[in-house]
Amino acid sequence: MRPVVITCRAIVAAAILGGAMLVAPPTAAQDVQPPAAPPAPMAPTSEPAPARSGIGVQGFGLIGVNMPVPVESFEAVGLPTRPSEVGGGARVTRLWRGLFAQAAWSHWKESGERSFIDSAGRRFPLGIPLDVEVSFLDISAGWRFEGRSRFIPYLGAGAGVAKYRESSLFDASGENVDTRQTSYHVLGGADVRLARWLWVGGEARYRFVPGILGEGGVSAELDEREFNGAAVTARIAVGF
Amino acid sequence: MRRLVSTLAAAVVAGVIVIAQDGPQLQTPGTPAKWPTGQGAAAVFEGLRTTPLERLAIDTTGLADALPEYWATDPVTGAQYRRDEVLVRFREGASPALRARALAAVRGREVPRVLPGNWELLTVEAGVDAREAAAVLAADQAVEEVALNYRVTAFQKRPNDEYYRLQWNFELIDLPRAWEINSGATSDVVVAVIDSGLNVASGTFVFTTGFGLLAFPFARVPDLVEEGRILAPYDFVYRDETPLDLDGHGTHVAGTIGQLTNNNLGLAGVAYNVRLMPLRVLSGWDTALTPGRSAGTNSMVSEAIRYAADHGAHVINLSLGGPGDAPVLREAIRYAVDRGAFVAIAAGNAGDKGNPVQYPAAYAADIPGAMTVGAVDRDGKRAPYSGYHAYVEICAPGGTVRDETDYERGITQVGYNQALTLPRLTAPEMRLLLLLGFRPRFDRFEPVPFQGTSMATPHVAGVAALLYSQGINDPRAIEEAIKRFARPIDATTEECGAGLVDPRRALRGLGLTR
Repeated sequence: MRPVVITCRAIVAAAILGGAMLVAPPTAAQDVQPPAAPPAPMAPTSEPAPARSGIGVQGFGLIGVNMPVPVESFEAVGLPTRPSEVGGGARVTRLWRGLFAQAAWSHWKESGERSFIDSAGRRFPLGIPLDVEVSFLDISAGWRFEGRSRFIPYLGAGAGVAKYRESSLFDASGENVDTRQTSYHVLGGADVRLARWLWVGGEARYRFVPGILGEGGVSAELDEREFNGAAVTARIAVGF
Repeated sequence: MRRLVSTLAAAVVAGVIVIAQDGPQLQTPGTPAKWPTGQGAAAVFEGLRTTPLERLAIDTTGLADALPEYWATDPVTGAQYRRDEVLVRFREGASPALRARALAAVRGREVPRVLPGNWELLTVEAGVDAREAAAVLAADQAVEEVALNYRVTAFQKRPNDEYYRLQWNFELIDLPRAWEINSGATSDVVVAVIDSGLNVASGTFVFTTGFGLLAFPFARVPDLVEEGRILAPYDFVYRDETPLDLDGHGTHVAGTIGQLTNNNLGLAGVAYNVRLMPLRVLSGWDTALTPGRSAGTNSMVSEAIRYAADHGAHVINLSLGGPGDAPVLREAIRYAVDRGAFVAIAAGNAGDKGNPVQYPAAYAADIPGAMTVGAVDRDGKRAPYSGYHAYVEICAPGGTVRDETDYERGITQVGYNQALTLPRLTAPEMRLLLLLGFRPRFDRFEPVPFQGTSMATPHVAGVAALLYSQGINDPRAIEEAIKRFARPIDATTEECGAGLVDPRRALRGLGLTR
């Protein structure tokens, strides 16, 4: 797949470059040419962009908010229930019509403190710093509803890996947690083309992460066993 | 006989002898039962009763290294370094002659070891300080680098107290690692010890006794009683504010909870920063001194429990009990828990004597926030004497001793010099000895190995104090935490309830997933 992408990108880039050279007037001759005709008025931005063809490639960075479902467990150890995430990835579009595939990595790290929860549900923070670090690698495929508009909505689904690390002060060997779990997700979003190479967009994603939680700690006490949750991200992409 | 005669003669001369009588000695109204006279005694903390290092086969490797003459202190960093050793690395190509000259300049004696990286460990002669030698070597053209041989220690928090090595009980419950999380609680946590008292004052105290007026020396317990550490002490036997310990039991129990720690002296305590509230309800030598004076009754204990709760105790230790059911005690414990005090209660020592139900131990199972504590031996197994019933909720080290020098298996803590107080005497024996002129001293101390659920209970009280200062400030939650994080051991729930108390796990609490 990769050689095809590179070849396509090279072809498209060469074509765009060649077209630009043909259209652009030679700047060196401007002072000897008769005054140029007034430039054609700029196309209104609302005018539909021409539909593109051929495989496209985008690289993107993202920033967003996670909304894990096990809120009670997060609150019990003083972790923010809306951790911020950053990440990035790459997307290949128009694999076949609107079909796209993408790989995205996102990561968040937050601090809380270890706690004790009694049978009445009262939380007693113990003042022992607790760090939780989560990374998601999501491989997705979906459909982009490309038309002549700069606004392109899309839907998709996929699977990936959730990497979870938990550590706290005074941990002895083997007491911290470093584990991985297969995850599944659905996603939807929209891209808006700002310029030929520049896109911005927003995406909502819901991950199903069985396991990780519920084996111990406050998540077991509170019987929250899945690390499911939504994430809303804003992204900026370059590509074509 | 000669001793008896001399004692009697002295007593006659002093004019204080009264014919010994059975029955109570009524105190003249307005006359105190005991009072201090002069400052008198200074505490003496004596060494071990035998030569335990050999008997106990304690590993003495490294003790020689710890001798102070080997070490000096860097005035800049405060770090200790070997007084007679310097680490030096010569420049490449430095000739043997140049090396020899450099070594001679600092009276280098030998190079006992060449280390990786061409570092050489140089020994200097006695009288030459390694720091000065290092300065001289650093200026030598042949020397590339020089360093002092600094001392390193393990970062694990083990107390440096003189006899800490005898406290296997703290190692058994992983207390050193718990101290890494919580260094002995804080002084805003108050632990009431309802027991046989604690010497909160020094001096010679005169007692109105069945033998007339008798004076005994007392001294503040070294390494335990300090200015500002004692809160609202009270003697429920003599009804005053100096709950002097005429037995040693209360001192030992209080020591396990709050012995000052990391001061190179004596022994360590579980929650060594707490303030103590000694409340005396048990008798000792006063059983013989004033036989009619009531001590150790349920009414007195219940009064003390309520007093502790009303005077700000966060934890109450009850290393006492008996076979008599006493609702007044149960209500007092409920009262204390309702006012935020966690109560630790000994399960009783009759496990190998018919295992009768003991009170107030039996009440704890129905009172969240009060726990009954059984005892384990050094191997973590239920001690034979430890009572076993459904009401036992947790175990802690209680030890097993063969004699008064069994530091190896007993719970060693500060106590009175046993030769001068003769513990475990009956009241008639005490009276006879007093008549013969024996005078116990309560100003001489030594490490004392005891056994019993009385010794196990203050471990749990101390852990409760640690938990309280860590943030679990409700007695019911403290009980749940102690149970939740107890270490499973090879014992039935009747023997040890949830298991062996594990302060580190309890203090560490829960993370998100572990």
